[in-house]
Amino acid sequence: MRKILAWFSLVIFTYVLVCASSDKTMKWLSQQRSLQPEILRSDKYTFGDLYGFSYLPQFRIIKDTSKVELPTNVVVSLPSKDLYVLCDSYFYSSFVENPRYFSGVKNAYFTRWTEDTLVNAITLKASNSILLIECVERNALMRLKLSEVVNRITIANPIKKQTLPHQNKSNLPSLFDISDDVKNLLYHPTLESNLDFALFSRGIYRIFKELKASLNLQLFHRIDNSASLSKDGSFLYLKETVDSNLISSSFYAFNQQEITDFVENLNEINQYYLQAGFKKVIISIPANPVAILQTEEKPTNQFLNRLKNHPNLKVEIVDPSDSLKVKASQNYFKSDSHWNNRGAQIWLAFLNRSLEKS
Amino acid sequence: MVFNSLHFLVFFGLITSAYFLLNHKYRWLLLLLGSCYFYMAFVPIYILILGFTIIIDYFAGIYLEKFTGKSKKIFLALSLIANIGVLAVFKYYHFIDQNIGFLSNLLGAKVHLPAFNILLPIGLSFHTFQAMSYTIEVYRGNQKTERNFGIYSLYVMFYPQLVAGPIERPQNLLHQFYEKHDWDWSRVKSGLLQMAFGIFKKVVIADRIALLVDPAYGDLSHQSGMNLVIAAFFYSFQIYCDFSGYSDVAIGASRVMGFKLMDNFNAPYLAKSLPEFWRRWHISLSTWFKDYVYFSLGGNRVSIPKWYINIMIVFILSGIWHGASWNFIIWGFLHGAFQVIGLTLNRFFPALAADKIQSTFVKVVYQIWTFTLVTLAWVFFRIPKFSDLKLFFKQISSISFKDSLSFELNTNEIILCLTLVILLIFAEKWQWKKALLKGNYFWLVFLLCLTSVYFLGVFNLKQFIYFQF
Repeated sequence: MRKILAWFSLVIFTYVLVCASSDKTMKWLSQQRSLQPEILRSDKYTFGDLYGFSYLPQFRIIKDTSKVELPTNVVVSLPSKDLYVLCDSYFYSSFVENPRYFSGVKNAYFTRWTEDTLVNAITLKASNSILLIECVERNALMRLKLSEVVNRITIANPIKKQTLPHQNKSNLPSLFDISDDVKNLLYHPTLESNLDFALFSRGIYRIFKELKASLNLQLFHRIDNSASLSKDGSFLYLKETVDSNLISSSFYAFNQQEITDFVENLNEINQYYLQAGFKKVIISIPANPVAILQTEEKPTNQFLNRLKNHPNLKVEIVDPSDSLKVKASQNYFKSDSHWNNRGAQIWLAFLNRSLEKS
Repeated sequence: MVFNSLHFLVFFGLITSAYFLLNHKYRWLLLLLGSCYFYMAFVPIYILILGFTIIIDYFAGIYLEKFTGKSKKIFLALSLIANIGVLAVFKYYHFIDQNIGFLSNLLGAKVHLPAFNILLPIGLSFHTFQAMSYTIEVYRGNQKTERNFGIYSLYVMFYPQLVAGPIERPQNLLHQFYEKHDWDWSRVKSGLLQMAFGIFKKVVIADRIALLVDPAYGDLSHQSGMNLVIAAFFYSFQIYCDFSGYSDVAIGASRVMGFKLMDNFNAPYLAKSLPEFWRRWHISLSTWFKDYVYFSLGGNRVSIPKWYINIMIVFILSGIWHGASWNFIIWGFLHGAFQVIGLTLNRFFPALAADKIQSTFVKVVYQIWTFTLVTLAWVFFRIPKFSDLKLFFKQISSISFKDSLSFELNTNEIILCLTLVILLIFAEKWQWKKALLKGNYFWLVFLLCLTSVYFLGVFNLKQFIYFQF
């Protein structure tokens, strides 16, 4: 009996560790979980990603995952443009499935920021190719740099070769590079959250998670480290968008030099891809929901406004913030860090106006 | 890999079940590979440093057995120089460089050591001291040379105590790797309970208290004197629960597999004097210094001034062991000075010596006084910068009962922390843990512990404080 128990735990622990150590097995595991009955099914994202962090029962609201409706007022006759998109999760997967969402677009090609493999080099087919780079405000400073973008969108036939910044590094890996490679090989970077998913992300555990979350909120006024409850208690936010010590926050006090440097980064990206053959580069930085919903009773850092009004800016920024602020609470999920279909459609309308001008 | 992670939970389950399934002949290999995996979760490349220490001391052990007289001394010296050299390079290089720079600046020159940017390997002081104790014991003839390279490597790398002790002695640990440990449910229960206590101390008490202490020490200029006194009081318990929590998990995990590690703590805050405190706090380190440094200097069998100097040397070395920074040296100096003052007072007023006291009330007064001195010393341990220390004592000097209190913990959390701290003191006074570890109410206590950890624990993968040493 003891031996059977030991074999059983050995198999289970090995299985869990192996699953959690690979993206492929994690994907497979999450697909398997979604097919199971509710008590065994994963509830990590069913009710929104922020519910999946906080497990506050009042935010257990089933997330609407229906497709965004196709816009009715876009130019569909003689679509001629090729649209290349580098995007994050604000760019809904329904957009990826159909180029008809976009005004005058014949072909659309997509790459996510999170893709860990280098995208094949793009051979620009049409002279009127447009590049859309979309990145949410909280990640903008980290991601919107030429070196980061070039890692994801490589042009096979640039009109003019450009020297990328920070390319003068030695090709020989240092001992620490090798050490990091070994670490990545042995320990998946998100191993801890993968293990949490593999072990505990099942409907059956929800009652304990919600009990713990309620207890901690009632007694200690605390919720999970990754999430933050709005002042009025009606929305959940990502903590990093609220914590004024972090540059990802809508309350971080940027100085003017930091804004100027960021504008230079955007200009550099714009110039590089225009010279590589794109007709136009469009940047879209969806504001953090907290900046739109304005529930925190303190002024935001006006990041997007300061960017758009900067005298050095040479690239077009699609920013539907003002429209999103109208009936703002209807444009965002209460327990998810993204906009809902209504919010996505408002953004799409702004993007299409920009595409029509191209 | 930290003990308060799911990664460790899975790792421990996997290694332990494989350990009991495997033939005894191969268990050391499993533990060695598991220990490598455990250590490499931090910075994999640093395993080479461990490898260097292991190779040096393994061969030193062999040569120490082979030679006698002067040659034997030379091999011991070489081994010690190599170990201390590793510490000097990886732990004290920047400190030495900074101080050379400062001194040369005073003399109008700018002298610096060559630039060498490296992170401190985790737990370096712990495994280096453990390795050194092997060569010293072989030299003294108390330990036979270990010929099996794998077993010797495992002695240095045994994963439960690899990064934060207890610092073991070869006489206690090495032979255990040769012994066959069968599954013994009562021993396993006791080990699991001790692990659960350890995790409870870490995530329920220490990490909750850290939510108050860290912001207070991180922003001294905005704290009132009263705030800082309370933060200092809580820090004493944070560091205790953090470190003894680690030791509990290490000892418990080893016990599950049948290994017996030495106790590292014995209710230190119940000590009635500083010498007693050091017999109860980080026992494996204090006995290391006692056995290998204090006694080598002559201990107390010398003239009184020399005895006091010996005490000061040991405590200053203990400060240096903790970290390459002046605040640790001051911390060690303070402990040494407190002891010397205490011993001097005992000579003049022998009736007042802590071990002569009969009255319970006076005993409690002594305990509170000892705790206060220890807490004062912890301030120097916690604050690395002189400017911050100055600020701390400036704020304290203007303390008033009218000071406004503002903490990052709410009232309920403070009540919880205080209750747990009081419970902890009583539990230690009446030795509840020892009684519970016998396993009579295993399921009740174990499940209660796990439930509290789950519902009241702070899970932010906060590293153990002593990992930095």
